[in-house]
Amino acid sequence: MTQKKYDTIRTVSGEYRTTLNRTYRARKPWQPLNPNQVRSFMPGTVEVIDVKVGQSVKEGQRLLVFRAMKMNNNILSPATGKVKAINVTQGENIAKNHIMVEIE
Amino acid sequence: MSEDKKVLDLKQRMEKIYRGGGTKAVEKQKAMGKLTARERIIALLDKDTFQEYDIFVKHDNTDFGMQDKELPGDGVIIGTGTILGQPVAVYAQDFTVAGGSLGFMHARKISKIMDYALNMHIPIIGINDSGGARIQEGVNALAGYGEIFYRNTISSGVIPQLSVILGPCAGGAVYSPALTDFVFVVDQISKMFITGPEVIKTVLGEEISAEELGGARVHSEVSGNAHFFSTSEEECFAQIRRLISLLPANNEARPLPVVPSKPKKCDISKIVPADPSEPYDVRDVIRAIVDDSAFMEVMELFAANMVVGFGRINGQTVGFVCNQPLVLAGVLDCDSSDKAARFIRFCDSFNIPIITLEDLPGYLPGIDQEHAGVIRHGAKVLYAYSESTVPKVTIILRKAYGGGYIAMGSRHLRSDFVFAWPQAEIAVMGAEGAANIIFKKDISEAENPAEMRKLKIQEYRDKFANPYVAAAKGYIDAVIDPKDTREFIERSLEIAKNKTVSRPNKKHGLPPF
Repeated sequence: MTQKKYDTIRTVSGEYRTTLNRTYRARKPWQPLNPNQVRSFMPGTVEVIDVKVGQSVKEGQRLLVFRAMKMNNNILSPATGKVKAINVTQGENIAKNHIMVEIE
Repeated sequence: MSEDKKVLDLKQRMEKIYRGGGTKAVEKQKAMGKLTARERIIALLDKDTFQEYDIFVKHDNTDFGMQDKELPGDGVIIGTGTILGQPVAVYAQDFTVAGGSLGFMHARKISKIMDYALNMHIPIIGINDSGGARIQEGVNALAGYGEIFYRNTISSGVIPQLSVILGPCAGGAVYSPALTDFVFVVDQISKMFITGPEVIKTVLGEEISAEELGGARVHSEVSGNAHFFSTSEEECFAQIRRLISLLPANNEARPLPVVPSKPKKCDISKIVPADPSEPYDVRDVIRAIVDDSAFMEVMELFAANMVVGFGRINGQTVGFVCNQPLVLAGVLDCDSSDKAARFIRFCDSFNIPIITLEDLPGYLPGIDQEHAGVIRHGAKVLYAYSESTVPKVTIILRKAYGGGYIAMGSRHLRSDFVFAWPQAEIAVMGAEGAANIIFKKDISEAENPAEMRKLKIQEYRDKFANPYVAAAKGYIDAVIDPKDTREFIERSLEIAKNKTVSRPNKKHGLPPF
């Protein structure tokens, strides 16, 4: 057999020469969730925007109506504070995990 | 009509149905590189053994102009035949007839052949090639799917169920294959998804081709929905025939033995490198053990850090569950745990002894693994080994560390025979990791920490990185010369032939699904 080039993998028991598969290579690095960013949990459409930039909001107050999978979802403010940015417009189609509103 | 004329009339009626959806539709099917449903059944079964039922079945839908539509056989062919002399039931959806769409009568035909298979205790093979539910039939089509899923579930663990995806299999239709034991896919021909590329585009705005979304390769390598990958329908049928020859007809039978043969000549002790961090292909070890060196791998491309599949020892089918140091160092992770657990449960259901070849450094560390539920998935392996009552033989080839040692068919989970090669390292973790923890103070306080670490690693390795600590406790039955591996397995299987295990009465256990 010819000498193949191997990758290395680290476990608690040490380092091992081996090959990596497609799923392992496709891993996404973990990022901590920022609770002040309101993200779309699935792709959909922004139906209503209730707030303006700079407006004070209370925790639990409705920010948007977001329509996804034939359902209108009330998107509530995760915290009490000010609306820092609104990154969507009414009627806009947005992808999953898009930052829709930022609170500060 | 005279008798002869009646027979002629019958033949003419059948001829008409044999033409399926007509010349144009058949030409279209061929242009896609696909065989017709009837050709597929003929190619799959032993010559002249196919016996067809329900050829004259008609749909009774009168909505949306369907009353004028003639759909030969209602788009599906059902029957029985043999594969290498073994009786099997088979159905094949006919894409040339209304796109193989599933209506109420179509589903009733499939249900009928599934009932046959269950009652006769013979394997069932379903060839899927369908656009999905026949929308004109509305909720009746959905009822049809439900009837099929129910039968898949009731038949599960009683008769082997094989699904062959030779065309589209979309929406609810995918759940019949998903409930069966083995799914066969063919490159460029098979397409499986719950929501297709069009839906994904309109709803989500994401563009992806059908092949990239749910093609044969994706399901074989990424999703783990498919078990056997091939590049042509002919190759696929050869795989099915080979698999059927390795399996019993039902859960009360044993696989038919064949004339025993020896593995091809090879020096088994030269395959595994002495250095525990050097890779090798565990399939070379399998081939050095099994009859004729013939190993039929299941899920070859998915979670390749675990190798599972069938071979024969002394003419008897056995299932192999092996860590693969060649890929991801053979670690246990979410996918490989799923793969192993399901295979072990299949073997246990169908009286196939399990041979475990162990060489792993433990579980894969990582945030993604923890968040994907490696606890829950890893537990499936423990469950499957503990639950299984077929003869189990474990060979520790090299590394057996920590949780991985317990999981991979250890004595503690009731493996019947556990043997280790002399180079086996059975320990709570690898020497490097263990020394770093146990001798943390000695290392950090040493004048030359690097030198001290090396020293302590060697100290640990000398003391624990061997099979004799475990052997002294009786956790392994014997330390064996690698050259004697096959003999030890042969004798163990012979001794365990009449193994019986009694278990507390229960409705069913609760494996961490």
